[in-house]
This record gives sequence, structure tokens and C-alpha cells, in this order.
Amino acid sequence: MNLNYQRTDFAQVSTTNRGCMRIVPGDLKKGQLDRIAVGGQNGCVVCLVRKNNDTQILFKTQPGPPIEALCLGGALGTIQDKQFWIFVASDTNVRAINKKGKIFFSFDTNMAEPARKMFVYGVDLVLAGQKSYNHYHDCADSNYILSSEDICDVISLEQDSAWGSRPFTSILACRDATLKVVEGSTIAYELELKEVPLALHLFNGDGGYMKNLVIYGTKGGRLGMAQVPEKQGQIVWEINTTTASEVTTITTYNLFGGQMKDILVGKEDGLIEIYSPEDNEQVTLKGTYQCDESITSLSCGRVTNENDDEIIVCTYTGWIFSLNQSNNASSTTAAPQASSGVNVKAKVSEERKRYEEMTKKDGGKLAFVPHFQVHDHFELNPEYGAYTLVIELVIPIDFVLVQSKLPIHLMEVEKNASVVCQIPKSDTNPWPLLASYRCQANTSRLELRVRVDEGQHGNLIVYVCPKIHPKMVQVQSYQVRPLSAHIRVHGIDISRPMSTLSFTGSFTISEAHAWLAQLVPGVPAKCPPSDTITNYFQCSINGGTQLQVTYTKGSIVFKSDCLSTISIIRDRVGEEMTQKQIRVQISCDVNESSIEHCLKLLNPRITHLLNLEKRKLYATALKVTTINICQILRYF
Amino acid sequence: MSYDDDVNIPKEKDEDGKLENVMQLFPVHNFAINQRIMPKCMISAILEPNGQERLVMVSASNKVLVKDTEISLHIPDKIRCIDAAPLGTKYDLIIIGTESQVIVFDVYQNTTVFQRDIPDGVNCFAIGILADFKTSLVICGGNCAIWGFDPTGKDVYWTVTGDVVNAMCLCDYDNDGELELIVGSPDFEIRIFKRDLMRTELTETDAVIGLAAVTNNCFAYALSNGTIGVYKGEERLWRIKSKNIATSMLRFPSDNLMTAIWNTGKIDIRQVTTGEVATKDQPQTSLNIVGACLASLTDPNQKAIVIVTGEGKVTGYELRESKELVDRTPEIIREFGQKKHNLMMELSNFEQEDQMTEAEKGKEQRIPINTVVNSLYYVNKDERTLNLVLEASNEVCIRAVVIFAEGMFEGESHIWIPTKIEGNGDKVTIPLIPEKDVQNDLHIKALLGQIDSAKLHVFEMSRLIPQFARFAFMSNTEDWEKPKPYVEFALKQRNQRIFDWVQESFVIDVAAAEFDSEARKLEMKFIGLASKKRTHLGIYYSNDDNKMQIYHDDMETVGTMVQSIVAYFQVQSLESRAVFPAEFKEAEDIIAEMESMYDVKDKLTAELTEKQSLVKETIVRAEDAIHIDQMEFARKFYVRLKQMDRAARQAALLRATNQERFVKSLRRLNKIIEYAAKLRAGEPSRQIVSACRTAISEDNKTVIIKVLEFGV
Repeated sequence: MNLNYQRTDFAQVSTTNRGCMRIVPGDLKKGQLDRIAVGGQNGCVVCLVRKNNDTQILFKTQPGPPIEALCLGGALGTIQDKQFWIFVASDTNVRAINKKGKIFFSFDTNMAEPARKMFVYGVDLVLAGQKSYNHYHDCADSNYILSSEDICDVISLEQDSAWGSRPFTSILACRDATLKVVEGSTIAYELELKEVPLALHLFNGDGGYMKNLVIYGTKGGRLGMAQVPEKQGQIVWEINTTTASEVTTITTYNLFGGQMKDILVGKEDGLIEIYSPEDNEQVTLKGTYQCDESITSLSCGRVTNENDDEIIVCTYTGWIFSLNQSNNASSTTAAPQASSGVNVKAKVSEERKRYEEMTKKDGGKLAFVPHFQVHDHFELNPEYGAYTLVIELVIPIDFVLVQSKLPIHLMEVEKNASVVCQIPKSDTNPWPLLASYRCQANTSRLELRVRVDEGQHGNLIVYVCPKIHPKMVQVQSYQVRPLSAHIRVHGIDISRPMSTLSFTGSFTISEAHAWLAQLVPGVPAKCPPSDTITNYFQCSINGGTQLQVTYTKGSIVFKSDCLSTISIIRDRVGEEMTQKQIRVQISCDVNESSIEHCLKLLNPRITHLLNLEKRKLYATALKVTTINICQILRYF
Repeated sequence: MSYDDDVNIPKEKDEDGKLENVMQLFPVHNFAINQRIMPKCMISAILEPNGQERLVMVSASNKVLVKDTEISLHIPDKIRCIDAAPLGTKYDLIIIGTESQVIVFDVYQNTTVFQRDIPDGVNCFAIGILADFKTSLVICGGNCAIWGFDPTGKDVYWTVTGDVVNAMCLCDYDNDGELELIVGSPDFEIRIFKRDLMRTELTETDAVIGLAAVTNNCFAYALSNGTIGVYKGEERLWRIKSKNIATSMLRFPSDNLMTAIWNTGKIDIRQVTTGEVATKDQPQTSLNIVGACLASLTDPNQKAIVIVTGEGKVTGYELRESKELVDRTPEIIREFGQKKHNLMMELSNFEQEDQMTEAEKGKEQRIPINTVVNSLYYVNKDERTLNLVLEASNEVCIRAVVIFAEGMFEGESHIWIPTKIEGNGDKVTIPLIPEKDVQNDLHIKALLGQIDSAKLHVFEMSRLIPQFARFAFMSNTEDWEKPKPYVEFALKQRNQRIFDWVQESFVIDVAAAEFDSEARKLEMKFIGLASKKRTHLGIYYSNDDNKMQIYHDDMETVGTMVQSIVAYFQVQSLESRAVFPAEFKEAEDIIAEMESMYDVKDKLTAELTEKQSLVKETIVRAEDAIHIDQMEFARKFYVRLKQMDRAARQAALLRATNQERFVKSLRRLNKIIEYAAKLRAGEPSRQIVSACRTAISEDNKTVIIKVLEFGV
């Protein structure tokens, strides 16, 4: 399925956040090509054009706080032709930049937290922080919601005259695996998904015919489309993409000339996938491209010449490159071009000299360890029943050490080409997990997979050493919680035999919330503003046992059909209570039938594995017999 | 810094960027053989005069198959390897190595050219004209021994080597116009034999699993830890390490390029001199490649790389010029861009400090800039271990230490991270446990920083670990005992030179006394460390009669020391007297036992065959009985079959155990001969091997022990 795309590098800017690169359409009447606008984590907004096979900077703004989001906008109706502004959000400020690079509009919002995501539609501006949703109409506060869950992305539906009375509607992708449909200042309804949605995009760029179709991409690499009309929404389709890596960005563009715009998906593992919508509410995979660096933005346009569509990709490390079908590319890249790479070389040696002088100058009393950015995430992958740890640097990695006091099992990752050396626990090595990963040249992204048994908790400590001078190491620590394999779900089967464990005493709801956060992954850091909170979890490894937690001021109740879960909770919470010296009453109601129920849950999986093993043995034996059948017959 | 510097724009056209006709691998054939194929068991051969080249493979059911024909050879013994070569014929003969013999078979004439017993089995072949032999030899690598047969099947070559032979190739490594035999073993050694004289040993970092001549005087090697590399003479040109393991290496397509085939199905063509990848092909999903060879199956003028998976899927790749002009420019630009980016990052590291405010700097946990880390070896006399001690100045805490050293530890690295930091944590003691007598480089990286700092400095240093790091020189040793076994040989050297050798090769305790370079008689005492714990070593040298004696229990280690001395003082030829009663006794016993073991082996084999034929017969009878409706008889026969089957199994088991013991004894005997050879150097060393060989074949027991002790 690999489409024959050829990569052409345009530029490298500073590291970028997700969704911070867009194509700015050029004025076709004047024969202008499309431009690329990108905002980096150094706060610069750079606008690039391609001329004669060379990248030129149209403008560049001064550095500042990191750019969190970048959108295009302008007065409604003029969007199609020329009047384009680039909106960027950093901290709590939103600026608009015109095509010449002039900041003609700066708007200080009164948000309590920095903006993370932005959506611009006409004079409507939507900003989302970690928890808050703000809607400004013509720079005036219109709507506001404080979400109980972290917001991963936000998008607004296009206002259509046919809508009638429906208020301004936005969709929030939330950490509790829901799409929250916000109408005005109220959450109209929620759509429950199986996984946390991370990226949103309007279907066909405008929401489709009904203007209410939204494409979403999830943490586990699934892609889906939801219809969000008034009152009640539904999931139209949801599919697995080629890898189980996070979807970081989605865009739409008509690449293949179909009726609807094609869907382009960018992934955390560097994979770009292109899907075409079909009539019967489905999509088909048209191609993939692997670029080995995590992708932060995708956008399409005609940047190199006015006839060819290109996919412009922006990666975390700040590389901006275009993908075009190679038959066109050979003509463009092979075109004679005067400017040579000598400049680069000269620049490189100049930088080297400069660097050497710097080292000599360094005569201070204390040695300075520069900070380098580590782009990492440590997430449970239910498909493998294991945690995936991804470490990405902007510079090549030399080696990585992994250490833990927990007996964590390292699993093989096919994509990871580094040489692993694990040191077994012995008299000289007190650590159950101690390993070194020595990376191949030019590796800046490392993916590890580790399996943790439930019940134990502690930290996974990683020492990252990049290939750079001065030589240094950064220590990263990742928390492994006692119920590490539990994931949040929307509801559970209450008919199962449940054991109950409850703690009552004088503690606040936020203390109870903190204990829960210590026990299971995926709980928001802050306690939601509510009197009684109920959360549901499901274990992803032992056949899917469940856990229900209800807590309020002075009481926290755990219900699970798995006794070991209950005992793990008792141990851990008990430990916490003793440490904090809080007096509580513990009551535990054990349901004996839950044991049999648990074993029954496990049974199909074990039987399946046993059968598989048996069938494998039979298959080999049968194969040998078929091959030798002529030999056997010869005896008779 | 100028305004534009942090936007790094690669320039489109570079001088070095050329439009090249790049060679690419194209799949040309793809077919499946409905058989599982054994590892190392695929070759291509022309089996009849003017015939077509065909693939020859060994299936998991122990049959030799010739692709596209009905030919299938049944060999009773388990096949371990096959090869093909013309031996005085115009076409290729198939050469089959089994667990007990070598068979040369002529498919065209349908005859066995010769069949010879190799009691310890054949692991690999090398075929060609070795040294000054007139004809091609079939050289078989077995258990510590190497056998060579001429085209008539005459046993013309025999030598011993230190371990099982895993891989062999012929290559003119010293460029003298004659081919030398290169042998790779699981004991990390690559040994080079000039005729039957061992010329040199190259120590690698893991078991050697593949060898191939890639030019007239360069050879490539592959290790079981995923390393491949190329030697030119005794100098290693390059090596790379990968997560995968190389299945095969081929001398293809030219003398400048070689091909490596990996077990995942990856094929890369590399520069022989630099290891740089010229072109490669990687399958979408990982395969299980068990064999690879060069063959021209379709076009006689075009060689293809043919690979086969364990499941019998065969794919052939041809190297062709890519049809489209491939523009390498973007790649080169990317490389430049990346390099520049890395430099920029480096630069910005230094600017970071300038941009920080005083308050921020105060928060940073820093270490004094003049901090240094010292490393030294320290011998723990009570524990009898060798410790690496690292000490940081300015009382800076050492948070972790990583040592990268190939072949020194179980994996490639050793990591030390304390569970609890004691005191300042500025001193670290790491016990080193060398398992082999090999000189090694330790690449030490010490991570320094405040106890709770998340950013640490890396101090890099390199230390050489001497070859005999398992022995420490001591001047006052109360519990030192002089071992009984020894070797004695003539050596004329000044005391100082001998001290130099000791200093270079052994661990010298800090407390050891100065060497006395004027003494007439030298007496140097060493204690064993780590795996040599509780052993002792004494080296004596007398200036009066210019004789050196090495007293130590382990014959192998003493042999390595003699070789070290020979190399250090550049001695061409060395005779010696060896007194190792335990080993000699062992050798004597094995030889005494040998005769009866051969007899037992033959007897057991005959018994087994008899029982097997009885089983077959009974099956036929039972089936017959059913056919003629004699159920009573049929039942009887089946009951008998069960008994017979059990008896046959028992006989097979007995034979296998006996064979195993037999091979083990043989291997031990070969090893002892090799150790004895290593106590000498040059011609005397070679003579011992051939004298022993003659003595064994003539069954002259008494001579062997004499030869081992006094040489020839």
C-alpha cells in the first residue's frame, strides 16, 4: 500500500506542537503559490514560500512563548479568495498576522490557564485550555464551560442558515474517551468512544453535507466519524488504522479527485495514512508513508508548482517537508539549480568554530548542563497488554538506560533497531530491571514496550544520553501504578458478582480522588467539581474484570468482580492511610462467587492459547506426514 | 547570532549530489517448495555436463532434494551441511556432511564417489586448493578437528583446533598466493591455518557463526550477537552490530562489494573496505531465512541472490541498475541538514546558560567544573576479585556507571546503579569477572550529579583490561602454593623485557614490590582472581640457563600464556617440555578406550538396524493379516509391533548416548592435543599435531604421551 511519494525537505524550524503548521493559500490570480505557515515552540511564526526549487522565508516573527495552536481565519465569505490571516495562540494570548507578517491584532484573553487548542471560524474564536472551553464572538466572551476532564482537541461546526435555532456548537475531545458536544454554554450530550480521542477534524473540511460530521483519531490509532446533530449523535464508522500508535493530526484534501475530500492521518510513530471516503459511509486506505519522526501537522496544497498537489508534513523536531508523487518530482528536483550546498558546508564549519570558541570561554566555576527536550509518553496499550514508552529527542540518541525496582519484562519491538543488553538480577545487580539500549546512528526516536504485573507499583527510571557535547544525561521517571492494566470505561456490567471494599472516615473528596489517582492510570490530576463521583474501569489483561469506584466526602467505595483487584486496593490505600495517619473504617464484603466468575473470564483466553499451541503441534506433524507419505507407501 | 539562523534551510542542489544509476535489488523468482528446509542446507549446483544450474536443499525429513527434478537422496544419518563442487569432474558433485560421515555423491552417474567416516560429525565444509596441495580438497570441520580429503577420498589433511568448528572459508589472507584455512568457533576465536600450522588467532566478541572470503585477501565474519565485519590480514577493517543475525555472506557482486543476508530477510550490499551500505532490500515482514546462495537459475549470465525460509519459500534477487534515475540529492541535503541541526543544538546549549537569570542558575544543581573521575584496578585479596574503582573529585556523587565492552560481560554492557547512595557517593567499586584470557577495552561512562538532580554529566573514559586479568601479581603472599604442573622452555630475554610483558599482560597489585631487574633468578607469584579463584600461578626465569618455567594447573591457560610470550618477543619457533600429569592421563585413558568404543558403536548400530527392520517387517505382516481377515493374527502382530517399537527406541537411545559420549571423548582428546601444540610455537607445534595423528591412527599409545610431554 506504499504510495510512491518522494520526500523533499523544505526547512527545519524549532520543535513544534501538534497542529501548528498550515498551508496559506496563495492568490491564484497573481500566480502565487501556496505558502506554509508554521509556529514553533520557540514562539516564532515562520512563513515559507518555494521559489525556483528553493525555500525562502517570507516573514518570521520574534521569538516568545511557545505557539500552542495555529489557525487560518478571516471574515466569512472572503475565505475562498484572498483575505487570510494567520491566528496563533500562545499562553493566553491570540494574535493575528496578515500575509505580510504584520501582527495587526492581538487579543489578551482572560483565560485562567494557557490555551492549548484553538479553532477559528469567521469572527468566532474558540480556545481550549487543559480544562476550560472559551468561545469569543468578535473578541467578546460568549460561552464558557469548565470540563471535568482534560480536553485533547476542540472543533466547531460551521454555522449554517439551515440550522435554525441551534446555538454555536463545538465538539470537545476529552480524556475520558468521550466527544462532548457543546451547544452554547452547555454540554448537550456526550458520545462515548472506546478510546481517548486526540485529534478532530470536520469531515470534508466543512462537516459534510449536513455540516455535522466530525472525524476523530484516537490514542490507540483508531479513526472514526461521528455525526453530531442536535439532541443525539452517533458514531457512523470507526476503523483500525495500520498501526496502534496515537493519531496526532487529521486533515482533509482532495488528492485523488473523488467526490469527497480524502482524509490524511498523521501518527505519533511517523506514519502518514491516506483514506478515501466511499459512498456507503466507509473509507478505504489509499496509501501510507513512513517518516520515522512523530508528525505534528499535515496540510495539503500546491507549494512547488501550480499543477501538483503536495502533502506538507511537519514533524515534532521541526522538519517541514513535502510529499509528492515521484513522477512529477523527478522533473522538479532534477531541474538545474545554481545554488549549491557549499553554503551549508561553510555554515557548518562556521558553527563549529563558534562552538569551539564557546567551550574555551567557558571558565565559570560551575559546570553547566544544558537542558534538552525529551518528547516522551508512557501509555498502556491494551492490544499488547503492555506499556509503550516512546522517547523522542531533537538530536540523535546515543544510549538509554532503563532501570526499575519492579520486575518489569521488556518486550521486543520490531521497529526498534537498537542493540539491547539486559543485565539479570544478581549479587552485583540489585535491580530486577536494568538494561541498556545502544542506538544505531541517527536514531532520535526510541520505542520500548514493557509488561508490568498488576499489584506492584513504583517508577520506571530512564537515563537518556544524546549524542551531543557536552556529554550529558537526563533522568526521566515514569510512574507505574498498582492497577496498571486498568483502563477507564464508560460503564460496567452490574450483574456480575461483585465484592465491595469501602473506606469511611474524615477525609475530603479531593483526598479520595488523590488515592484513586495513585491506584489507576488515566484519572485527571484535579478532582472534578462534584459531590459524588463514580468512575468505571476495566482490566485489559485478565479477561476484563471490572472496577467501580464511587467516592464522596468521607467515603470511598470500590466494587470489583476480581478479588485480587480488591486486595491490591486494600494494600495500597491502607499503606497511604498509615502514612498520612488518617483514621478510617474499612469494611470489606467478599463475594465468594466472584472467584469462580473470574476463573470463567480467564478460561476462554487460556483455552484459546492452549488450543493454538496444540494445533501448531498437529500442523507440523501433519505437514511432515504429508511430505513423507510417498515414503511410507513405498513399504507396502 | 543572525536572525535567520534557527530556521535551517537545506539548499536544494549540492555539488556532491549526483544523478546516479543506482543498483537495486529486484525480485526475479519467487516460489515455494513444499518442504521445511534445514539451516545451512541450500546450495546451487550444475549436476550434469552442460546442465542447468539447480538448487539443492535438505528437507527437515532429512532428504536431499534437487529442485525441478524427481531426485531425492535418502541418507540414514542426520545431515548437518551440504556443499557442491566439481572434484575432477566437469560438473558439480554433491558433498554431504552428516553426524558421522562425509559422502560425495555424483548425481549424473548416480554413484557415491566416496564415503568416509568422521566419527565426530561434520559441521561445515570448505572446498578448494589449500596451501600447496595440487588438487581441490574437501575440508570438513568437526568437533575440534578438521579433516581434508582429496577427490579420490584419500585422507590427506588433519589438524586440531580449540573448539567446535562452526564456519570455515579459504582465503589468501597473507597475500602469498596460497589459500589459508580460516576457522570460526563458538569460543569467540577465528583461527587461521597455513596448511596445518596455526598461524594466528583473532579473538572476537561472541561465537563465530559465519565466515566468507569476500576478496582475494579479505574475509567477512558473522557472530551470534549480530555483528558482521571484515578482516584484511589480521586487521579488522570494520564491523557493525545489529539486532538481527547474519545468515550468510556472499562474495558478490564484485571485489569492492559484498552481500550480507540477515535472518529477517534483509539483504544489504556493503563496501568491503568501509562497510558502507551500497544498496539494500528489506522485506515488509520479517522472514525466517535459513539459507542463501548465488545461483543463475534462469539466465546463465546473470547471478541472483537466492534466499530460502525455513518453510521452504524461495526468493531470488537480481542486482540491476535502477530504471529510473535516482536523485540522491535530497538524501544528501537531509544529511547535511541533520548535521547542521545537531551543531545548532550544540550551539544553543551554550547560549542557554547566557540566557538564564541568576535566580535560575541558583536553582540549578551544578557540579564544580574542574571535577575529574579517576579509575583504577584494585585487587580484593580476601574475595579474590578484581575491582574497578572510580573516584570523583570534589565529593561529587557518581549516580550511575555504564561500561560498554564487547565479550567481557554477558551482553555488551554492564550497568551499575546503587539502590542507596552512601556518604557522598563519590567512590564506586565495580567487581569485574573476566571469563576469558582476552585483552579488552572498557568504555566507561560515569554519570555524575547531585543526588536528586535530573540532569547528569557524563564522564567518558577508556581502560584497557590486560589479557590475563584473572591473575594478579603479588609480592607477599602467605597462602601461595606452587602448583605441580608446569611447562619449561628456553627463552633469552633481559629481565626488564620480561617485566614489561608481565606489566602489560597481568594485573599488578598496588602493594606489589618493585621488580628487580638485576636478579639472576626471577620468581614471580600470582594469585587467581574471580573464575580462577583459589588457583595459583608461578613464573620462573633463570638468567643462568635462559629457561622459563610457568607453573599452573590449567593447561589451556598456560598455552595462552606461551602464545602471548611468543607474540610479545616475536619468537618464530619454540620447543618446550610440558608436565601436566592430569591431562596426559586423561588423554591416555581416552586412547585406551577408543578401540572398544569403536567396537561398541558398530555393535549398537548393527543392533539398531536389525531392530528397525524387524519393526518394518512386523508392520507388513500385521497389514497382511488384516487383508486376509485373520484378526487374531493381526492383533498378535500389533502387540508384537508395540514391543519391537519399544526395543528399537531403546536401541536408538542407547546408540545416541554412546555416540554422545564418544564424541565428547574425541573432542577432549583433540583439545588436549591442541593445548599441547599451543605450549610450543612454529614448526614444533605443527609437528606435535601430525605426530599425534600418526600415533592415533597407528594405535601407538605410548608415543602420544611422550610427544605431548617432550614434543617431537
